[in-house]
Amino acid sequence: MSAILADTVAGLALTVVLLAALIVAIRARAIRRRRRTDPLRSSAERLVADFLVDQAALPTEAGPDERAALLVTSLEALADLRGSERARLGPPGLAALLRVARSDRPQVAELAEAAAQS
Amino acid sequence: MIFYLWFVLGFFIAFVVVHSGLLIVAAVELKRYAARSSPTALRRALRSPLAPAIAVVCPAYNEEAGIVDSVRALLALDYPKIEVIVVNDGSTDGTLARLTEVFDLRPVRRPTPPYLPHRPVRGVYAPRSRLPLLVIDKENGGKADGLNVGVNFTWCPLACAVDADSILEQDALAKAALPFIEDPERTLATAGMIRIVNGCTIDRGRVVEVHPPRSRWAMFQVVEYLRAFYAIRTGWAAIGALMIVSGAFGLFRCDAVIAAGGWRTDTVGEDFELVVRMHKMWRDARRPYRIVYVPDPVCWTEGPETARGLRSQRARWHRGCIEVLLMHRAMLMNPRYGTVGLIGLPAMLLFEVLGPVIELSGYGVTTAALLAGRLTAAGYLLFLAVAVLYGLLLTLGAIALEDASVSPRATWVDLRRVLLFALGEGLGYRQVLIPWRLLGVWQLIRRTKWQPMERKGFSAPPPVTVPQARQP
Repeated sequence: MSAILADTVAGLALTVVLLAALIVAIRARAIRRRRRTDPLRSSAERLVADFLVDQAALPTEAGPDERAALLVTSLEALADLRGSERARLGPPGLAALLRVARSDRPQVAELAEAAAQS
Repeated sequence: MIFYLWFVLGFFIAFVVVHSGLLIVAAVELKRYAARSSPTALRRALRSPLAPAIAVVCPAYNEEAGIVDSVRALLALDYPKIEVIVVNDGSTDGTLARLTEVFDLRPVRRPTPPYLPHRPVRGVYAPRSRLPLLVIDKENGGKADGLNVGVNFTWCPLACAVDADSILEQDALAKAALPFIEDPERTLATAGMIRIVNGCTIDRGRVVEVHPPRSRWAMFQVVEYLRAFYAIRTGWAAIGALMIVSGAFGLFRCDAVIAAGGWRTDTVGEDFELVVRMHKMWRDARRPYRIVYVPDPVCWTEGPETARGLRSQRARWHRGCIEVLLMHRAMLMNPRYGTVGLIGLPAMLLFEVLGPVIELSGYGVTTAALLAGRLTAAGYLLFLAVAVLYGLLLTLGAIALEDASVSPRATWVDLRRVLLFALGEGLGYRQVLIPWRLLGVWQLIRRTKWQPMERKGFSAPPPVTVPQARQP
């Protein structure tokens, strides 16, 4: 019985150690990512706000982190736009906002095309 | 003797196998949930004219200390159509007086609807302002009775059952309501994540900073809740066998609750019982349905911080579990009830009801085997190591799931504390709970009335009166 118990304990202990290592790795990665993206968030919010208020130009060249921050902010802004604000911006404006945020998404290209046709 | 030890070892291995399976299923489900949920979808749902109105039903018995904070927080929830119904369940303290004073309540005439039976209503009160609040004063009948009153009186299609000492996150209702918007026909109930609020910073009924509790008892409960909600409930829901929609926070379709007959008042496990009954009724009728677990609407609840409070709570939970299994024993191993009958209820019986007995007897028999020379000292220690590690495995799995599905907010110090308590859980806490849980069996036999937990309340603000508004 002791041999089976020893095998069981070894198996359980190994899994526990692996899980603990996984938790530490996930947490370290999340903290690194947060440190990298948090400072970008406020500048993305400012850019989107400027764009929504007076159609200021959005940056066309942006790194993956900046684009990710812009995408999140743009999507939140789009969901918040209502009534006359949404009408004022119009489909081309919405498409432009999304295209800058994540220009490599095919759906955004389709939206931009549809907006141009309308 | 050795045969029994094999049996106990088999129990530990069965626990690890079943719960590892649940962990894997939960991981897949959480990944799916993260892929389809987005803030945009949530905002759209919140503004949708199809968003169903929700009655937040909050039964309160002697909750003077925290009721005002709770009601304020409920009224401020981010959901377009809401009605807060506080059911004063015959409190003997100043619960009703405090509500009347702070929210400027006045009596209103409302006939008692006939849908669900409950104890007589003594009075219905509404604020003079336009706050969507209704306070129903009734004779004491227990939490289940209070929830039945709330469902009876509301005009809303959905009812959210919350404890008076619970705090919902701002968007918790909206997230919990999404499954009803997506599939209104089949969705009967949604359950959300419950977390321990002890130690967190609360400001005006909202959790503003999350910290682990200072109390050791509460800290162990943080670990337990993490495991129960991230691993176990997500897993059960993914295979269609979610059987507990916690009484602290659960959203129900009112017509389904009424069709099922409401919460039973003759059991202390009324939340568990109602959901099992719904499974039974809908499967008997061969009607498609779903009971959904939504992992991120968070409800914060106060956990007991004293041994006495915890003992009372665990005895009650254990008793409720046995009562429900006895009431619905016909569903056990019955293929007619699918995963609920074949996996969920048997697992509940084995791991929750019989588990403490098996584990406790395992410790006794192992010690006896050691003393009788039938087991070596190394074998004895290895057996104890299995007893510690099997629970730790599941807890770490749940923490990993949490970290992988939501961006971790806790600091390294907090994580170290959680891990230490996860280890400590198997080194004494779980063993202490065993006799407390078995106390529930004794209470069931004696039909003892359980004593509600004493609340500290989240804060003790000075009495503030809501400015009087014009009469509606």
